[in-house]
Amino acid sequence: MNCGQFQETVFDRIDGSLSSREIREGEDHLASCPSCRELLETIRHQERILTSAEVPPVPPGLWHRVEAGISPSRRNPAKWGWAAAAAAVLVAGLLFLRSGSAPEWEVVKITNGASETIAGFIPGFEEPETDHRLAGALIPPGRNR
Amino acid sequence: MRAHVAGDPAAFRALYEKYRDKVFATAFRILGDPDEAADLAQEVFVRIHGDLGRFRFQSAFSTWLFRVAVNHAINRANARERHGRIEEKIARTEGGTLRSPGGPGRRAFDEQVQRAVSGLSPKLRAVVALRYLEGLSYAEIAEVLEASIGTVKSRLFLAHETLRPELKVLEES
Repeated sequence: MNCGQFQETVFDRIDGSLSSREIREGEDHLASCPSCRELLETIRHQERILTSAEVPPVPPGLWHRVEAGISPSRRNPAKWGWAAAAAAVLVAGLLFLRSGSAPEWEVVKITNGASETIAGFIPGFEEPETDHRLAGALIPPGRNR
Repeated sequence: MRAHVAGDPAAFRALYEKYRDKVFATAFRILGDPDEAADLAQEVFVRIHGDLGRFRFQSAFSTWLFRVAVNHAINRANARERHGRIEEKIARTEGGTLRSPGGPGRRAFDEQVQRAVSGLSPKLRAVVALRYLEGLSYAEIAEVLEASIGTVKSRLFLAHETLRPELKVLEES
């Protein structure tokens, strides 16, 4: 066995997964090679250090962060945004039919900065809080242009 | 796990409890920062939650989880290092060895080991983390990294060679 062959098997030697013939050949090589003896000892020493070193504990509150990340609204914002927009359109339509008034608000769909009016809205309806996650928003006519 | 696929949130919580330490520890070894490791662990579990329905049970769940965690961590470490955000350098004396830990304290020892590991490339850090922190076999590491066992061993050998001057002065506690 030469140095290259010894290096190739050094981890298996440490793990004890070599055949008895390979173990014997390695021992013969080690007897005459101080460099490989040092290599073997160095790796063993490093393995003891690396397996005994500890890492910090998991910080408290990590589960809550994960939980927030997997809540339905975060998991599929587009789907929920469209659901909210659809509900807004429905309410706008019903109120418009009841009042017969001309629309003063519009429901717009915003895609990549471009907007498209998808429903009218009547006076007296409060503008909702801005939620950029929603695909639809209530905006006075002309403001979105 | 199949219970989660069927939509049982408690099953996912149990999965999180079982693997959170492993994911966080692996992330910490690769990233070297507890806050970044926590961010990454969160990212990994959210990703796993979203993709669990597509998991085909053709490999061990832990293998898949480690693969997602390691790939995310390596990508994050590479991006960070490309942007030069690593300010912490391994403290060296003129002789090229680590400074004395200043006492036998556990924390000082752990920090010195982490500083030494942080001097490796992210790919080498991943192999070191999976082998010496998680105790995976070479075959398991190869499966996680989707590499050959020979590649795993040669990366590990290179890691040991690189760590030689950094760990020479440390004694295991």
